Amino acid sequence: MEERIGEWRSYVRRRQAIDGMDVDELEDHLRTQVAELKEAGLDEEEAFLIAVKRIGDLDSLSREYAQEYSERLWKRLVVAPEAGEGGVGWRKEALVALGLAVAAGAAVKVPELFGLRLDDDAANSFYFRNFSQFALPFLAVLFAWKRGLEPARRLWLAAPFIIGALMMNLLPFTSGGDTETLAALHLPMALWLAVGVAYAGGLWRDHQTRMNYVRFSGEWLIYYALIALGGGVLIGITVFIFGAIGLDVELLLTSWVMPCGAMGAVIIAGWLVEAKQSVIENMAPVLTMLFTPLFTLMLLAFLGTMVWTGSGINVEREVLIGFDLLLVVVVGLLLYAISARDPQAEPGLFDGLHCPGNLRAPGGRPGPLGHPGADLRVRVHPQQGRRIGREPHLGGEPGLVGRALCEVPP
Amino acid sequence: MNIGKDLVAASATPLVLSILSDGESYGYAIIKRVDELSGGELQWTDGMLYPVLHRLERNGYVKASWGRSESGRRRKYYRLTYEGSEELASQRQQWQVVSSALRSTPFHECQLAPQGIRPLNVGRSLSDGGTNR
Repeated sequence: MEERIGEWRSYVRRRQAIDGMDVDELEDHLRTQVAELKEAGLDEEEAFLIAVKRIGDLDSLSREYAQEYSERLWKRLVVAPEAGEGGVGWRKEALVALGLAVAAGAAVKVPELFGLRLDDDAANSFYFRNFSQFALPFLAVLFAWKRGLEPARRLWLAAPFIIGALMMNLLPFTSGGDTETLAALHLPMALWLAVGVAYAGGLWRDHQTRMNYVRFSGEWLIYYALIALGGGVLIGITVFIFGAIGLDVELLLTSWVMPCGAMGAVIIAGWLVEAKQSVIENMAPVLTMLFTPLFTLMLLAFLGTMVWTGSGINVEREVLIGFDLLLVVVVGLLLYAISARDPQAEPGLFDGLHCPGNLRAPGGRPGPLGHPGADLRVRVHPQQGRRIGREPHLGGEPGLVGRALCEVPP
Repeated sequence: MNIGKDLVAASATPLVLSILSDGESYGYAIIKRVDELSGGELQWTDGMLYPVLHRLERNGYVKASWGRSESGRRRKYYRLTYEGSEELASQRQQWQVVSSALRSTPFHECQLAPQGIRPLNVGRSLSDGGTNR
């Protein structure tokens, strides 16, 4: 019963005109009705069905609400508490997020105390290797706090961050070498998975939570890009207006505002995704829908050109690192598209478009593709990543009907 | 009897206000009460009551507050305000005017036999001098 009501709730919540409090009100109505019908001798299922029916057709209902609350249809980007559940702790959460963002911003300046200046070329390599270490731990802390992670689990959660920090700073990397590049690029991905454990509140074995995390990642990326865009405009204008009165603020901006802002924005974006989910919720799938075909087209064009000109891929490490990143993008798009699709929907053209994206890992075997879309079971083999000519590949296998499973071996 | 949609919509405000004039209430109870009062003739789509309540709240006729139901669930209660009772009085008067006007008009059974629905040919009926009607 609770499950049905939960489903119904989330269904109603999708209507933009009806907000959290209204859903609460309608839910109370539904429950009272169900209780009454049950007393009259109906069984739970019948009672639920009748009660839902009596509440009325949601389309016309949300039209009525929309007439009353036309402003709700304009998505409000202002930070306001999402009414309803969790509304009470909202202010506290905002403060914690802000505090952690400031801490992340400050963390990036800490190495300067030890003489590693950001604008110093010698320290470049240090910052490059460690850039993900400044913000992601704080993001993990935010979620560990928010989800009330058990103390024992928190300790475990700290492990990847500590190991990452030790490896990045104790191993003898050649400055500017490929190994360093690879390590610096993959550390954030590994740590992102660790953040995922915190996000899931330790329940990362549950595939539903994992899919939520994939969704979160996509929405986080969009928020981050938006913040970066806004920040860029702000910085540009600052330089311009201070330049007009003959003051050069560039040093201040590049050594303080930009690095600290970039780190702080990681936390703020993470917090915003949760706090104002509905804002991006509808945008993210649209963006994926827009870029998946473009990526597919680009990859197909690339494959076609490769076959046409007969030139194999230049097997050099730099190139392979580039492909490695390309794969990350493709995996990200694919996983996100799967997580964002309506599980009930029939596989359509759009799902079909993912297939070429699947097939094309250079040097890797084309995966035996199962049913596209709904029946896709994706396995990522990160251990194959570093071997030259053996990029990680995606192989779909037929999975259970109607379930989009995502399995990433830890 | 099937009460038309427009009438249901128009009567919602005075009905809700007069039910609330009995004291604080909440959505489900209001609908029950409407059902009782109209002898089951006035059928509302349950959900539609809430936008109406919210509109009344925005207009200042009712005041909403969150409370608890007997079972401890969160429930939103509505209370009539002073403006609301004034509005109710004025609406009552308006309805009384309409209803007494209706009652005082003579009501005759229609003399024409019921006709099946057929396509209206406006052009012809005009040229025929309206005999088709």
